[in-house]
Amino acid sequence: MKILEVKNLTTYFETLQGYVKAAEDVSFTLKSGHTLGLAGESGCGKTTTALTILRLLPPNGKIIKGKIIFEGNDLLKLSEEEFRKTIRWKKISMIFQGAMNALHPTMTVGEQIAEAIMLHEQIKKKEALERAAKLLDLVGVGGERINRYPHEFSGGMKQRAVIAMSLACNPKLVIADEPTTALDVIVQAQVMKVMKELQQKLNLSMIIISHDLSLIAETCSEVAIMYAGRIVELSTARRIFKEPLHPYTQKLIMAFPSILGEKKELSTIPGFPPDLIDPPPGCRFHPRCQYATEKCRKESPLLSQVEEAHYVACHLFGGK
Amino acid sequence: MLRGYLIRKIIISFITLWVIVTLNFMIFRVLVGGNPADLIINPKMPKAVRDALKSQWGLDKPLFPDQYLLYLYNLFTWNYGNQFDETASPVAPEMAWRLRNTLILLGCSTAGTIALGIPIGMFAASRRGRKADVAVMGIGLFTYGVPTFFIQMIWVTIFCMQLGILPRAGLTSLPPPQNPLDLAIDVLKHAISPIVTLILAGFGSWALYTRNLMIDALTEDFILTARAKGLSEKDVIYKHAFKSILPPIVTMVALAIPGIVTGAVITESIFAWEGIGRWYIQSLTGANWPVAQAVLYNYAVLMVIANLIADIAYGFLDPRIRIGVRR
Amino acid sequence: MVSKLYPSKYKRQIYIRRIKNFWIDFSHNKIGFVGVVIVTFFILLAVVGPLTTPYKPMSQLYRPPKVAASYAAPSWITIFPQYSDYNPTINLTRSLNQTQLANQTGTITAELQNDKLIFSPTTRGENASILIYLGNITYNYSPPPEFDLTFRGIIRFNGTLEFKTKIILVNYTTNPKWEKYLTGPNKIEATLLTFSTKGLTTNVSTIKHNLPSVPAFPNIPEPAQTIFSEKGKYGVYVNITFYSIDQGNYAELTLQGVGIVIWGRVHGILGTNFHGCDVWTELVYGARISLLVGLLSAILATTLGVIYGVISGFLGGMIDEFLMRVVDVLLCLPVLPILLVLSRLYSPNVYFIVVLIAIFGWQGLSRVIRSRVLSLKELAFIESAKASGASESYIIWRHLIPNVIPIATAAMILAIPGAIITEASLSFLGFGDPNASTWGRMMFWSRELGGFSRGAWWEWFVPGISITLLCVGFVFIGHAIDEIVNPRLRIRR
Repeated sequence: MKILEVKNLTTYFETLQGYVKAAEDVSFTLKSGHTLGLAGESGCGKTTTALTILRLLPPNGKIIKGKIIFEGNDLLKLSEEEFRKTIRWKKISMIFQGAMNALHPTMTVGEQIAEAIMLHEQIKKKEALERAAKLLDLVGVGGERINRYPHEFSGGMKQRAVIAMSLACNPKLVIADEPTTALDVIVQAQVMKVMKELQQKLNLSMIIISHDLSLIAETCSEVAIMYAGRIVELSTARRIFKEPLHPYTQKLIMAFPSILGEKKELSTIPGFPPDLIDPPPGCRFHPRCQYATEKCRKESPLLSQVEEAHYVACHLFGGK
Repeated sequence: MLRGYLIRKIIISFITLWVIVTLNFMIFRVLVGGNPADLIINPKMPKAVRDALKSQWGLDKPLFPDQYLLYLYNLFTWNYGNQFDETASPVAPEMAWRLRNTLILLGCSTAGTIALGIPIGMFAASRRGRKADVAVMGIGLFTYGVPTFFIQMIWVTIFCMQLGILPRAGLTSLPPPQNPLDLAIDVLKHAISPIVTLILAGFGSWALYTRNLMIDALTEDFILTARAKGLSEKDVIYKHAFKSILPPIVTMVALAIPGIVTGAVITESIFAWEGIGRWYIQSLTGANWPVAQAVLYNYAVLMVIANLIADIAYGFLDPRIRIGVRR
Repeated sequence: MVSKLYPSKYKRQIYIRRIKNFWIDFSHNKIGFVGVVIVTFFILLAVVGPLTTPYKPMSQLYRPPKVAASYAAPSWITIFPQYSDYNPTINLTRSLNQTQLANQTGTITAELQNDKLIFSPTTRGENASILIYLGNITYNYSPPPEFDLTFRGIIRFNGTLEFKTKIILVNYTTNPKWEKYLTGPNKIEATLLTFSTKGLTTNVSTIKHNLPSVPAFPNIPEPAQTIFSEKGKYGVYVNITFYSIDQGNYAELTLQGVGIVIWGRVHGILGTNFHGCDVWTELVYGARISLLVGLLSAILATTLGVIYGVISGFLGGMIDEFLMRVVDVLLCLPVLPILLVLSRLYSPNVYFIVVLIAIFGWQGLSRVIRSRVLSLKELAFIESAKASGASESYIIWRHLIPNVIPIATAAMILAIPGAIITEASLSFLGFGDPNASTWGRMMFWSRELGGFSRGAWWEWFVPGISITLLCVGFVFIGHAIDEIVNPRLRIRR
């Protein structure tokens, strides 16, 4: 059952130099209980997409076109007030990049979590704090710490507290933006373990945004690869890693050294990510692609189905 | 954690006070050319009297430690000596009621400035980039540059000279009314001009600083989180953003204290408000040195106390200091 | 951190590009632009202003150069109907060769080209007198506030004699107010100068007389309003009479300037002050001092703050703690009262004040710089510089200070209005340099000498608004720089 369907979502940012075309024609679907991974380099549009879904763009961000169909309703058609009251946090919540700063420095962690609960449910503060304590237990931080301030937590604890906060209203969909980037490997493993358990327990649907492919490989059922604001490949995790079709995806996976494989020189992708104010015409990847043809320089390939549950945006595979 | 912080701040306050007092001593007794005794004992008095007083003030003894210790002792027992004017009256009793007048002026104007400036600044931050924000920024920048005494002269010209609805100067009319209620109203009428002009001159920079702090705070990640949680924009601003900038605002209070004191000196002069500021100017012009020294000392004490209060408030507001870290 | 990785050529290009980007941002900023316009105006005023006025400011001359009546209004207010008949300064002072000889009795020789009158009597008790015609005054204004009679001359004599000079005013239209004082048909007169050698011991002498103002017409109350109460034409004559007391006398009078000055009720661009001196001149010369004090104090204070902050942050540890405590203590000092007492006890000289203001102005900046240095120290490039053998001074000069310059510049610009206002406050209270005609001092005199109460707004309002505009200009510039340098305040439009 589809819980989220994003169609042709396009978001631009207005700047003095022009429009930054941060997300262009982004389309994907997410089934209930599944985890979608959004992968790509920094600045490829992953966070922009997430912010657009929650309608948290800064004042100069404009949603040009598209549909975000959540549980059958187009979220972009709701008024701000309705969206805030019914969707935000209650149905869709987010775990932000850099949890260190996502918590308010002069409020206790318990208060912040309780605040989220009280916003969407008619509940007394005492009860809300009790639930907050339970949530902290759930993530392994410990309910007795609800009266602590964020500066008293370690990095991993803060991250887990933010996870707890995102679950406060029992949402259906959780978007996690780089949930483990700032953490060391051991804590990273702990946090991901917690998230996996929670997902199974609560039957959450998740979108995990990361540039760390190994993380995505471990946790996601579907994967969308983004480049320069567009989705270039969308498939199940298995297929993406075993049979990457898009040249960019192939290079991306090759760039990840295998600890078990033979030692060889690190492969990289030549060139730099494009300027999104004035992206290259046609396929945005063509300046860096070894297979680029004349057509690639002129026409932008559309995301089209190549085989069952495998979509690629590349002229090598049709691109219509 | 808090205890350690407070103790440190109190110790520093005492050290500051000691430094100021010593500076005072150095300025008036050591660095001054000519005969320092002339700054303590009125040179107009006959020689016999002066010689007799010399031993009382310790001027016949060496500077350190004798004179210095005597000086400190006098200060802490509120013995400021006698004035150099015709009355030769002791300084301390007059200091008491003048200090009260100055505190009334400072207290009311500071409270008013903060009460007006901070909300305006927050309002501007919430309307960032729009007309209200630009207007507040413009006014704030403008009042940062306009000298307080200029606003006061304009005010006096309009309200006291042209329209005649407010009294020109003084603490009360002459003669002051007898009836305590009438007296209170009279003083109130006289207080309007200095207090209102001080507020007008000061609220702009407070609004501007608050606005900048708020805009800074609104770019923080925890604000995005608050919005994501579903908080209304109003709550985001007043509950989350404002709470997070309370510590820096307190710091701003501490930094603004010297400016407030300065403004009071000039204001008291223009409006002939009988506070220690006006007395100070008069004493400097009239070479009434004991008064000058005493007022300088009192100003320093005021500032040290105000800074200490600000530090204490900061300690309570910032949980990183108040609670420290419990592991 | 670009600085350490690239060779100098690239570094220069990068710096140039940074400055260019900054300039693009700055020129878009409307507020900054307005600020630059205002400040440029005042710089021009300070530099070029003295060329716009023929007068010198009071501070440069021993005696105030009076140009019109005390507190004369600006001359352009005559545009308005109720002020249209206010009189300007009318000066009818002539030296001898500019006059006409009207009447002469006795043995006086006039050498007009040398401005000389020579009296050489042959007998004792002989008199001689001469009537000189100075000219006409066509007076079509309301009665003037003041007028003065002038007599500037040198008398050389031999022997015992007396001479007396009178000024005679003739009214060509009748003026009823003159009735009581007439000394002839439509004529009134007053004694300018009486000179007698009786009682002097030497025989040959040269005595200079220079009286710019004389309480002439002592018998007439409010002479200015009474004598010139009617519009009309007035003729001005001077009568000089010599009396010989002994034989063999000789007197030679060089008449350099004699006459009448009717002080204007309006004058110039901005009127006059208490002394009757041109306010525009004072304003223009005051601009120099205000700008000078502001810039010097700010530069000095910023330099001190940067040095102190960099050293404190760089050395760290106990020294840093101690240095910051010192700053804490200094921030608790009541600045203005201390400035007042120091300028009263020592000298209120302008440069002394600049230094004092700087001494009390650097503390805030040192804190900011120090915290920036601390956060820079966290970055690895300091470690790497040390590891590659850089000396401490190298690190400070090549790495720390360039990174601190943007903050320091913004702070310096914002420190200028503070310094200007501090100096203006000092002067306003009467404690500044008495020889320096700063804007604050002008406002002080306006209060002290009565101009404020009399409504002479030009003397206090114009300097006040000048201080305001100049400070606001710098504040605008500083704010614009701040908005650009501080990334959080930038608006992404």
